[in-house]
Amino acid sequence: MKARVKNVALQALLLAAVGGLLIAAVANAGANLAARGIPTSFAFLDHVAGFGINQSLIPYSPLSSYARALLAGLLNTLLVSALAALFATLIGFAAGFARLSGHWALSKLAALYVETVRNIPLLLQLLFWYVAILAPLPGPADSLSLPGVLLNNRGLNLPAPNFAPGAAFVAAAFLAGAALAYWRRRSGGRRSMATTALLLFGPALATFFVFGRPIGLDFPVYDAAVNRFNVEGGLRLPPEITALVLALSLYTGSYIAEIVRAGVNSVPRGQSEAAAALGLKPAQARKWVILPQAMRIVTPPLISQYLALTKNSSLAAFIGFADLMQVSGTILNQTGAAVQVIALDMVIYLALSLATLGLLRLYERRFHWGAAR
Amino acid sequence: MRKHVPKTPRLVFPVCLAVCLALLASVARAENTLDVVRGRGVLVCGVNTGLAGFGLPDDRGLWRGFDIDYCRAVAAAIFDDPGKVKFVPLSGKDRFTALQSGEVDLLSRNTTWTQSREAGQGLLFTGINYFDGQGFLAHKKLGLASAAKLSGASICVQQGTTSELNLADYFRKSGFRAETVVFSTADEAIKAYDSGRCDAFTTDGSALYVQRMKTTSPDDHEVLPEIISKEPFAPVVRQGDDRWFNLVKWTHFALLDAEELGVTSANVEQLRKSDNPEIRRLLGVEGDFGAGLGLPADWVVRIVRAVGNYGEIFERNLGADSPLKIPRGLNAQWRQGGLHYAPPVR
Repeated sequence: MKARVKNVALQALLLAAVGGLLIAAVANAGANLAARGIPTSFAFLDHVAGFGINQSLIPYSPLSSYARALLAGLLNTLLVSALAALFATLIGFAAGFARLSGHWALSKLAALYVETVRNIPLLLQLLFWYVAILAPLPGPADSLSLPGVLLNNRGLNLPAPNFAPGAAFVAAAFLAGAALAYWRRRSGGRRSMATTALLLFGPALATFFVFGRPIGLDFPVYDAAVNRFNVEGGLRLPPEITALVLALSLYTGSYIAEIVRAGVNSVPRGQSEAAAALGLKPAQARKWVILPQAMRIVTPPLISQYLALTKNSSLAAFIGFADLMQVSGTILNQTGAAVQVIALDMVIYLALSLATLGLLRLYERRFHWGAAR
Repeated sequence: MRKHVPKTPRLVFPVCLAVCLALLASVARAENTLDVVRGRGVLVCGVNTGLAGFGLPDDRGLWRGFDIDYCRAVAAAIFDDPGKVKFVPLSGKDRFTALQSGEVDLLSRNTTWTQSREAGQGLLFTGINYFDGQGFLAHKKLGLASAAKLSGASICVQQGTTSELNLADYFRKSGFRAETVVFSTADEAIKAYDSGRCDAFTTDGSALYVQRMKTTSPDDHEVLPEIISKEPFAPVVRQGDDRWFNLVKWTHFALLDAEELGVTSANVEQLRKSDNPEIRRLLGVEGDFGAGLGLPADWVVRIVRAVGNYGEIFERNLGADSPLKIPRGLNAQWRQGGLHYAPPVR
């Protein structure tokens, strides 16, 4: 009992010491910054940013605030991380299974990919892909073209949907139709595909024509008379984001491949033999017997890979992609609010990581792998 | 059963306490950079990561350039040895943080003097040593001849620079739209421009000529005639140490005064015998003008002997004696139609 009291007292003392240290550090930094005339508040977030961002998911101009610039950067980070995580998972699982397959060439090829990509620094790969994408592509005037699609060294230009007033009604009609179709399939036994399709698309199509076709496609065009430098209209996927997603997915994919291989190898051999004895084909055995068991092992390290990927996306500044780090670097330099900007970045990355972690824990729990098992 | 009680190492608390006290002790200690530099025996100077003419290591690893010579001039004034400098290469983005945090004593890195950098970031600009302005580099085959024709173009620029802001201003003012592609270093920006990612590259006029050399075929690119901004470069120090600020500022003025009075690295020793009272005061033969700066009377002799006067520094690194061949232009002395006008030493 006495030992317990002493233990608690010691812990409390340690906590107080750490807390005191933290408070002293903050106060010290504040006092020193103020003494040197460096801003210590977050008021700068409302000020006009004054710099341009070439790729933004939200409307942004140099007249927008620093806060909005940060938001634009954050959304770019999220976009790149989500795309890269998706592709890395696909590549990783494919390469992982390929390496385990009995096919000699396929297995060696996968091994070559994993061992090469995993052992070259990511920044080097990023710069390589950026140059590899830019170098062979022609300028906008000589764009490679398919109907509605233009490819040049400024990016891949795709047709973009444009919305006139009334588009919201079409969307609402589609959602209503989808809900109806879902409800019908749930409630009744067997229904024909045709009825489902009619319910799904019928209301949306009817509204579409009633409102005078409010949703159309905006095609990219190159016209030297309008803009001799760039393609106008449509949706543009710049080479920076392509290179970043490519480099991140290939790099993270190589790690995921190894994780998958380890997970599958950890499932006892008897399991696949039993599955074969039950008459399951190898593909079926993989899907119904091996993978569900392997996923228990695979999921935790997979989560770390997604977290690492999000953090690695901050290399974007090297190839001119306006991610959170790049935008905040500019803000830091302009405002001098280094401590605040870096603190904000840390909080945002931490929140992103915790959110990813939370989502995947939910997924684990759903399949009863996690703590709830 | 007795619960396991973790043992606390005896040293933890004293160490914690010591760290706490050290942190608290560093609060509001008045700075004296000159004493710190003297004690250390070397000046720590923040410079460009690599910009020919301003700051770049040569093939023997020796730093050379206009900004480098300013660091050497300050070191010469303090130690009578231009070699006692440690150069810290800094990116555009990191330079102010390095100075504010005390990592460098002095920032001499083609840095533009702006109101917000001085009033809002705790910095002091010591005196304009190079008058520059921002321009554009574009491929000759576009036949632009003017930046006014850049509407709709993609433009590569380095992050954390006034260039990035001026660019946005310029297009806002002219009502143009342009895509700005921002890179963390000038090298990456010029590489992307060279590979066709951008129609134009923008930075300070002096650097445009340097960066053009880095393209695959420099002759295919032209510098457009427009100058879209004022870019006065100055060495920068932290606020809160007036003595250090004065020392750096007067090193700059001494270089200008020396040029104006015809004092060069070749004739400085001999001019100590000069009858001209202005020269006698500058070189410390009459009066002791170094004392107020914490320097000996012959501080200017030390500086000029080591790096020459302003004109010599300019010609050696940027002007006629350099590959860049930049004309003096605005950077000539006031008597020659330039803007350099230093207060007298008296």
